[in-house]
Amino acid sequence: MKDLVFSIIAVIFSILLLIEASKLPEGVANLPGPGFFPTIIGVVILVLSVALLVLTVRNLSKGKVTSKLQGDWGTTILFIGIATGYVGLWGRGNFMLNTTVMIFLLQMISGAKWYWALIGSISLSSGIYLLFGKVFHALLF
Amino acid sequence: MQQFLQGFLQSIEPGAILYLLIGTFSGLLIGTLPGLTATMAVAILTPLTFWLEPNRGLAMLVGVWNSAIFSGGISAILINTPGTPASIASTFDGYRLTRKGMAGLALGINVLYSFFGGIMGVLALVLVGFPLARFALSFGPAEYTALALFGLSTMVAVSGKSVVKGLIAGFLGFAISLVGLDPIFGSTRFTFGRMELLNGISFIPVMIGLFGIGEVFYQVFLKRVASARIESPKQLGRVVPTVKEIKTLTPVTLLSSLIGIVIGAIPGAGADIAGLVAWDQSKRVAKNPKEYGEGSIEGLAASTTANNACLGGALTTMMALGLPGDAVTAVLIGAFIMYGVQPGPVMFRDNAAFVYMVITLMLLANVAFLAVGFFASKALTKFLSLPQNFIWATIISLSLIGSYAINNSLFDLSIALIAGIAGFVFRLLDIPLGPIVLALILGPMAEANMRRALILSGGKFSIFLSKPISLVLLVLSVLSLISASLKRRQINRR
Repeated sequence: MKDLVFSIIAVIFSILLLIEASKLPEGVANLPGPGFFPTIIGVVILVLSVALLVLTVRNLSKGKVTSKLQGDWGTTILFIGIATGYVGLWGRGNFMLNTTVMIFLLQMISGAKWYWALIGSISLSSGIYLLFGKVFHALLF
Repeated sequence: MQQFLQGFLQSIEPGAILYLLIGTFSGLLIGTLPGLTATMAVAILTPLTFWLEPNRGLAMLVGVWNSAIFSGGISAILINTPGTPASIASTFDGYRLTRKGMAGLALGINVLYSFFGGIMGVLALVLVGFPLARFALSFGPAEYTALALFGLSTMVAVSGKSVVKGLIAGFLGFAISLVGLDPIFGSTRFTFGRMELLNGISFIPVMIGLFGIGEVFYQVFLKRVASARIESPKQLGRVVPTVKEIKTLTPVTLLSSLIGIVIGAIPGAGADIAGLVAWDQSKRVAKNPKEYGEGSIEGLAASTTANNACLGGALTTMMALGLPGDAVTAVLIGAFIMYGVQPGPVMFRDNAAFVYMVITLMLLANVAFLAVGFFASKALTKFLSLPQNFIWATIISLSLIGSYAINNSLFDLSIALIAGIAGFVFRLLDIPLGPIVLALILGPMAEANMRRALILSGGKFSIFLSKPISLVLLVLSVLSLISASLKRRQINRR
């Protein structure tokens, strides 16, 4: 399953890379252009990923057991969603508030008690603000 | 001599020592906590060092790196869980010694022989680094192209379960490195009209994303939520090994140092492999091989020596050739570039003071964890009960804000998040991250030199086979991939 997913992604990626590379000048043999190396890379990825795809399909048809993607999808997607939301809201609202909320939510969904999550998020976001905003003078909002 | 003095003085100035100690303490803490790796520690702390003078920033990173590898052994010994992958082999005998009531001696051996291995690694860097760099100065475009392919092939050969997947991962890394300006003509490629991509994809946010954010997502996915209740032994017993024990351990630890250095120098083979191979090989020369796995002090000393000796080996290839020996040195290359220094043979010729500074900092980092480690080893286990959810939130927030803060760039922040999600997906699909990172670093070098070689030869690919060094490197690349494929096929059949 894992190899199947990966090989399909790699095939699609290599085709897109080759399409984009074809828009660049290839140059000539003694003066390779900007499209020369990307084309080589695209072809190599395509060949390797097709080979992996064929091998995987062959193994699947033989009934060989393949590893499944088992784990805590719910919490992971929430983690990714919260981090993405934080990045998406960057520059809007208030840095301290946004950071505190993100840290609080991350802790809550991974099983922390609400009061520990609150203490942790306020202290951590304050520490981060002091370090980056006041000591390093990063342009926080 | 002047260069040496300059580098030496930069590394011992009070500010550098202070940051070295801060790094050492941070590394001790991070290394002890299972699930947090030395790579993650160095990646997350790299943005913090951006604001420091290069000698202070590097002191902090070197301190973190050395002490994290050492302190991974503490949790391996006391709770049978390696703090970092580098200490996997230390669980074999370390925890058995704890069960026998010899936790103190196990911790003492861990400190002492991590230090010994570390010093041997630095010695290798001093002895091999300069001649290797001098040799590499004679490299032309064909040799550099072959060197890049050799680095990638050895990394593919030692990382991951599948050579094909490793190769695809490597070429994906090359593909990412294509973004930005073409190295020969300067025309734009794959920038899709975005100004931020003109200089290529920023390396440090990618590393922070892959090794920091991605790792957290993966651990959340594996449901490593609950923080363990740690019960470390109340009585440690004696800590310092006797003279007789030291005599017994000498041959084994000398061999392990050598193994660690050589494995560290191979691109892709890190401290985890060094520890495991040294444990296995030292068993063959040990006085009491039957005790291995049952609480042998020789077994523990072998693994702890090798994993710290590995750092010197990794740094040798990284500094002399520009090839990262492992994931941490890949991140360190990013840090070097951030400080305006490009690792490689030219650095040894034109910026020898910087090389001496790194060497001295490595020595001092070993002394620092030796001094602190003896006293702090047991106390560090208290941190093992820190709630995992708080650690994860800390890593995510530090990674995101650190990525932004280097250039005050929202684009870098987004790159770190995307790299984090990609890192999680790669871990999920068993795709090794090493080849991607290595290819990302080597991509521009490989492309520019390959095209230069073709221009010089009038478009003849035979130039790569007509130069002896290039030919040897290419043959070694092919051989390493073939042998790795055959080995994996054998393992699969079994």
